[in-house]
Amino acid sequence: MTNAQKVTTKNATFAVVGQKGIFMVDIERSIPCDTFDNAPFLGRFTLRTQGKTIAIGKIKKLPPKK
Amino acid sequence: MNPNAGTWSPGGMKPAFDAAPPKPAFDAAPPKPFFDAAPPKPAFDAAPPKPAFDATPPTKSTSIGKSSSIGKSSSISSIGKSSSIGKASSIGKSSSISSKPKSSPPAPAPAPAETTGGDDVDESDPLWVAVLKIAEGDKVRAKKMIDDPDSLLKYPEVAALMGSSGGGGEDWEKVDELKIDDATGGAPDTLSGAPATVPAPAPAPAPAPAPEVAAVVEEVEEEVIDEGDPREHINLVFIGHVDAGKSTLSGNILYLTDNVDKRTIERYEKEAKDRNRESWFLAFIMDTNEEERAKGKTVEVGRAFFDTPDKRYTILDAPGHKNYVPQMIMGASQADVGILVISARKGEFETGFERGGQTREHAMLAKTLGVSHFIVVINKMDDPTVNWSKERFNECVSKLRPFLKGCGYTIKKEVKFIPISGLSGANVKDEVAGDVCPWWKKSYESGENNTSSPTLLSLLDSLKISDRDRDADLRLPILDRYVDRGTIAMGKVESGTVRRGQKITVMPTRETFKIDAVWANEIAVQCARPGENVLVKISGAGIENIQKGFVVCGGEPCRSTTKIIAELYIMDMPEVSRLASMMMMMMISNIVLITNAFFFFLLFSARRNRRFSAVDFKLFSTHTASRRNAPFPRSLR
Repeated sequence: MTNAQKVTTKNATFAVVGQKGIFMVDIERSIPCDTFDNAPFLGRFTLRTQGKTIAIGKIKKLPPKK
Repeated sequence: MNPNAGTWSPGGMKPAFDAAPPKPAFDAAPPKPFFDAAPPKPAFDAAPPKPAFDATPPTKSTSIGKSSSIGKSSSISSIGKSSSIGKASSIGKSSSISSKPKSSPPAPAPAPAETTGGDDVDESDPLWVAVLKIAEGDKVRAKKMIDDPDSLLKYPEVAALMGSSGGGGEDWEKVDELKIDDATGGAPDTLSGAPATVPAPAPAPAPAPAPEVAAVVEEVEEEVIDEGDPREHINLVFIGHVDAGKSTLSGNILYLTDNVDKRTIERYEKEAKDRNRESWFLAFIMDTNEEERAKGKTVEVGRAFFDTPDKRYTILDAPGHKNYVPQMIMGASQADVGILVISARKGEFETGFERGGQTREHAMLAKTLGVSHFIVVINKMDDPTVNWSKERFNECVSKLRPFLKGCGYTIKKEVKFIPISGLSGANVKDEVAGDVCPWWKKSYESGENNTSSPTLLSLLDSLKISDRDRDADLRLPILDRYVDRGTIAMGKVESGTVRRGQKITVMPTRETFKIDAVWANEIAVQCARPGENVLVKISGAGIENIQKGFVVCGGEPCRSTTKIIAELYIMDMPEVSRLASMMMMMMISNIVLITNAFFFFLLFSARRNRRFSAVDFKLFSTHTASRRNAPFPRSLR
């Protein structure tokens, strides 16, 4: 878990508002995407629930090509 | 219409109909359209016979007379004839067919039907004889050949037979056969079918679509401009709290740039007055549907084009209401420039900022959705509670600064503030009058608030959009698609160039197609540069191959995956404990349910803490890892 570009915790279990962290996200179906560095428009997403935006994210890594 | 027409149809056709079902021949495809097309016959009766058929021999032209009910006596005779078919058909229509060369047209039409599908073939039919000859006496083969008239025409004998218009019956038959063939080919409502109507409509359907298509093609070719408009294209998105004046501002921009004519404005003005909301008339330009107008709320992202001498713009008018944030996200994800509309009116400015106010969420989203330039317009400066006061403007700006900084904007470079009035149009295209707002001239001249342009439009013109790579691989996320003579996809070219005739791959399905045509802002072009909103016609693709959220890729296709590692910034905490059930991820225009993410101890922590001070984002729990045998996360550590 990183905060302000410094690793504050490793293998943390919680994140609070205002924190940045690196997460693994599994999604329901396959979507076309790319890493943020490669193609910014395909590497951005938002997480929303109940009409609220909970988090925003950039894709850092994709699974290796098969 | 001839009164006879009415009597003709029920009288003459009914028996034919009744007689039809028992015949196996009519179960076959070709005859079907004939019967489908039969009922509308009276309509065609009124149509004047086509000149081509006037030139045909006397026997035939009399039959035309009958069929089109021009003469009473002839129509009566046609009744007689068609009913005779009805009778005859019980024993096989061939009997009436055999008398074809001298008989009326109602007879010939069933003839091909019989010859194609039926067992009882009219042996005396010249066409049949000819075909039989080609088929070397093989009746089955001959039948097959007659089924396929196009290929039949290749044979000189048949062609000669067709050419001799004197042989009326055959000509008819052929026309009819072709017609039937056409009709089965997906246009059952063509005018074909009924023998009597053949003379009039037969020439019509076949040539009619052809010139039309040709005309369209020509038109397209004429319109093609190689690169489209050379001026730069920019997408603007208007965001902000409900009722901040986004729609009014965008409406006024359109009005001031002469994209809305005066009459329309007057009509809207009247409509707005009828609703007791006079100030809404400009918003009506953008909010077109009834619901939006009634409540004065934008629901869907409105689109409009306008241009200045330097640049072309597309306005995306995002909804401000919090229920429509997903739409706003879709709008903002296409935008290059975000315009945050803030109401300076007393009270309204503050509510936009409160918890739950959309100003905050929108600004945040715009930043993360890749809006590269951000303009903050302080709207409603003409309001009586504000009255172009410098204090109020500065108050708004100073409150916005730290907040926008918190969203990740670098205030000094990226954010520009400008006071305007969306309703009166001051500072939109023309600078506000000096006596109303004396301080603004000094302010922009000294470059305060990063603004050296006096008006919103001049400010927009001065913006430079970088990071558009026209040589990269094509990426065109699909925002919408529809069918109009082929599948047409709508989207914004994010990188690369889209060309006509280009081979593309659609992700995530990995299907390859070809691009048939490209339109940029509804003008056909050869290719479109990044940043353009385009419509592309994709040849060979069905509506199910092209869907919202897919990405059209040229060159190396982009990746498609169900598992990603991402950097997340936690903005807000869900308040209800049920949240674990649903969490959506939004990307471009994709909305995906997150199936398996990181909240394993959420409910537990909720119980312990009684409230959500933290969400558990356990980094890829061992449980998931083992279940999925994923070596992937380890590479992260």
